Amino acid sequence: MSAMRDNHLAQDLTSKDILLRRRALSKAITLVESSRIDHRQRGDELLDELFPKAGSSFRIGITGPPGSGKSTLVDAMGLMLIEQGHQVAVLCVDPSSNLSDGCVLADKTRMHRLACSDNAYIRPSAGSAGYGGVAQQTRAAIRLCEAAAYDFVVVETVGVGQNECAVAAMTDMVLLLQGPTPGDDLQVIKKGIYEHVDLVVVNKVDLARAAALKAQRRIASALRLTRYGARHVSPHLQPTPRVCTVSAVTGDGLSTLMNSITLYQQEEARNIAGRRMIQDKTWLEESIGSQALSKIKADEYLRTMFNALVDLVHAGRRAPPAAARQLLALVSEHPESFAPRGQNGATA
Amino acid sequence: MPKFNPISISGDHMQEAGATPVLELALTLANGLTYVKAAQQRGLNLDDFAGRLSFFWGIGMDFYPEVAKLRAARLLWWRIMQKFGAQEDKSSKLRAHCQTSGWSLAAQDPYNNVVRTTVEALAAVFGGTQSLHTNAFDEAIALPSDMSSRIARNTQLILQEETNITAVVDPWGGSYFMESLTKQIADAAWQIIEDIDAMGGMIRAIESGWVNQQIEESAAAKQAKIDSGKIVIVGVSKYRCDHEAEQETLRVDTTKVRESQLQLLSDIKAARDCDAAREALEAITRCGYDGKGNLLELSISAMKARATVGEVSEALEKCFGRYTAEARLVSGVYGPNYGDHDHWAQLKTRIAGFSKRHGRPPRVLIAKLGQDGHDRGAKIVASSFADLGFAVDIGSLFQTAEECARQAIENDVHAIGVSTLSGAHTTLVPAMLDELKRQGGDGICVFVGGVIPRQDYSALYDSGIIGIYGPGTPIPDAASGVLEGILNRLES
Ligand code: B12
Ligand SMILES: Nc1nc2c(ncn2[C@@H]2O[C@H](COP(=O)(O)OP(=O)(O)OP(=O)(O)O)[C@@H](O)[C@H]2O)c(=O)[nH]1
Ligand SMILES: [Mg+2]
Repeated sequence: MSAMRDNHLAQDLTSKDILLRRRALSKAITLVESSRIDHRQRGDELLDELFPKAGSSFRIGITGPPGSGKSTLVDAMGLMLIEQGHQVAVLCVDPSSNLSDGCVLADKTRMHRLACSDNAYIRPSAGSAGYGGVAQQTRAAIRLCEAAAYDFVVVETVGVGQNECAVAAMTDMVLLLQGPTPGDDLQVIKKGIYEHVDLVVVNKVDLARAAALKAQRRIASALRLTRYGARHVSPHLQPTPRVCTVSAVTGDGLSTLMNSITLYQQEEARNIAGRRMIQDKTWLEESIGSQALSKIKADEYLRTMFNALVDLVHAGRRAPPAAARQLLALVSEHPESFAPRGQNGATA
Repeated sequence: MPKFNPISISGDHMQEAGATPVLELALTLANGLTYVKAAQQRGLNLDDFAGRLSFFWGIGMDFYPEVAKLRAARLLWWRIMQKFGAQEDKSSKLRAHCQTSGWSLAAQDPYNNVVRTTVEALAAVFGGTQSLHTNAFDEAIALPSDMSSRIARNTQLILQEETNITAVVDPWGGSYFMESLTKQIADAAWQIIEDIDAMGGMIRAIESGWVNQQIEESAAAKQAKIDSGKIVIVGVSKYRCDHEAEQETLRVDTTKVRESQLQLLSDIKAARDCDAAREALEAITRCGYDGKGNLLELSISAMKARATVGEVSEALEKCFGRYTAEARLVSGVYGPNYGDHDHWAQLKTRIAGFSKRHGRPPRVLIAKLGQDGHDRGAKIVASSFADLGFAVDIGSLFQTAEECARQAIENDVHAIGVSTLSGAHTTLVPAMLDELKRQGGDGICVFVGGVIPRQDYSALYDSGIIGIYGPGTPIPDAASGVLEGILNRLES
């Protein structure tokens, strides 16, 4: 029954009919986000089927403190991208909210224009204690959007210190958004957040231009002390500005920002490919779980299988969650390989 | 500025949205002083305009504080205007209009509302209002009928012409109780005004969302106290009437109103000199950009050239953008104020059980359709549902049927709850259901809440609505109904 229904889902999700496609994508994301075991199974299988069709988007993470203007900026950027011919998907995730406490999902009210566009899809998600946590669900949701022909995926998440790292682990580029006041960046510097960030955007220049420009200089010099410092002295100097100032409301500075993103995309293409390989492998490893993983690594047969699956994942042919399921099944078929070596000999 | 009333500085809409009398007082005066500053910055001389400012208060059921609020308002405005350096007496005098509270009026047993309005009107008169608006007893049901409007007007006439109550200025002056209450209220409001000043002024306070948050917290707390029986509303939360007669109300055919208004607009556009109208509109946009000229003056000349309100707004929007309301919600206010009640805890448990069984919490989109800015109810429902464990999506204000259906499908909600108070439900709700069907979301349950006359219930149910929740519905009842409806749909 469910397999047939999901067959439809996979078909609809890649359909030309926008209404069918949108609805199927929504249902598919619900499946991969669900905390129910049968839903997970179906979600993983669906993702596995669609995986070869995914992978062809640019993935950008937008993070920053609450109220810094993330949604407003995504609205403005999204419209520009659509004008350039892109299909834009936006995933808003709030990892701080908790399944049992209920939650309020209001980001879409700040993306009104994008929400009305035929070339956009916006999905706010409640953080949940469900399968694999927010990071895994979002990774899966990104691929589903790609399979549904969205070629630019934006992940919006509230920046609180740890999330930057999680977003960096699932996107090609992370934008950190912040307001123009000094307090905004001092904290960020202290927490070492810039390490995970590829572009810093000082928003709301319309409110305080002088303060924003000051912030830009302050951050640029702070960045020189982080990983960017190393790049700056290295031979391939990057012409793109590391810190932009914009106004998400008036659009001031927006085209410079868009150019910086495009430049990053071109110049970093090599690094991005490498980054994705690492991300996918991590995804697979996390889906397997650290306990089973150490056992797999200790067993030659399982290790070989693992490596083969990593290759398939990298080739875009298998989705990490389903690949992980396959490996875990193998692990339980070979219970003897579970036991530590010493004991193995003793019981035999 | 002879005999010209440039502005009515309103607190009424804030009280009606949930503010307590003290909060209303403070926020309104803070707005007032911001207007004064702005006028001075434009080069106006204080004494030339200050005497023409006027205020607009809401008057609720808490009798003594309302009388004291009006007295405190005059005291504080005088203080503020002295600080600005007002020379003329007139400049420091606060003139006020009052409206009795519509929020305090119930849909249940509506004749009780005549009494409520009378008591509130009395508070306004005792407090020394210059003019008064009394509401009709069918306020929570529909636009007033001829009969209910007549009684509302007569309430004022009786106070004015039969009782001699208006013969005395400040009849409570000198009462120890009233004087000390006045001082308490004035001090509390002054503290808030100083806090706002410390935040960088009222504009900053509004932009930061602080003002809305204060009002919404107070609204959610009040609703929780009513629903849990801590605040009594006769005929609603206590002493309910078992057999209520259906109220005859004014009926408005919203589809016809819309058509005739569209006709009117196209007639105007056909008859006017279109070039003149366009030039006048372009002048507005130009002035918006370069700041040279006077927007009000230009708007008046555009209107004289028969430009419509919508066109003038659009001309302004080109340079100033469109305001979108902040959708940040208060949370954790309703639950604690509702208190320890078994059925609240049971409801939470049921919702947690739903989440386990279905892999995610019940997800509901709370939507406002069309030109309906009444968001007090929608916000309370959204915030308390979230407190209970629902995942709540918020729709933008002024959404179209198409946008609403699309958002529901994209977010894959179980249900849409439309909050509708503008009277357009018979047009907009079926339109939204059609859109849901067209976009493939017909599995989604739709509920409606707000001001909906009984006569419309059957038509709404026929169009496919699962439940209707009118004014006075306790939140737990609404939540439990919505949960039930979703479960039935999922299981069938
Ligand atoms: C407060 C109020 C205002 C405030 C709104 C403040 C705000 N931010 O919300 C102010 C003063 C700004 C205002 C303005 C106007 N108002 Co007014 N207002 C009211 C009033 C008095 C109370 C509404 C309210 O907030 N009640 C309290 C909340 C908690 O209750 P509720 O919304 O009904 O919600 C409850 C239930 O209905 C249910 N519920 C509601 N939604 C949902 C959703 C779901 C999913 C569920 C399950 C349940 C549910 O649960 C809630 C809890 O019990 C009503 C009359 C009345 N007593 O109902 C008129 C009323 C709605 N307004 C009316 C009018 C005409 C206007 C104006 C056009 C007046 C004017 N000429 O300017 C403007 C329009 C404003 C606009 N832009 O839309 C009319 C509408 C007429 C009609 N329907 O035919 C009414 C009915 C008064 C009347 N009889 O004339 N108003
Ligand atoms: N003046 C000005 N205001 C802005 C700008 N960008 C956003 N805002 C305002 O800042 C507030 C918050 O904007 P959002 O886009 O909701 O911010 P966010 O970072 O997505 O917020 P969360 O999702 O709640 O963390 C809103 O009132 C916006 O109108 C800007 O460039 N200039
Ligand atoms: Mg946001």
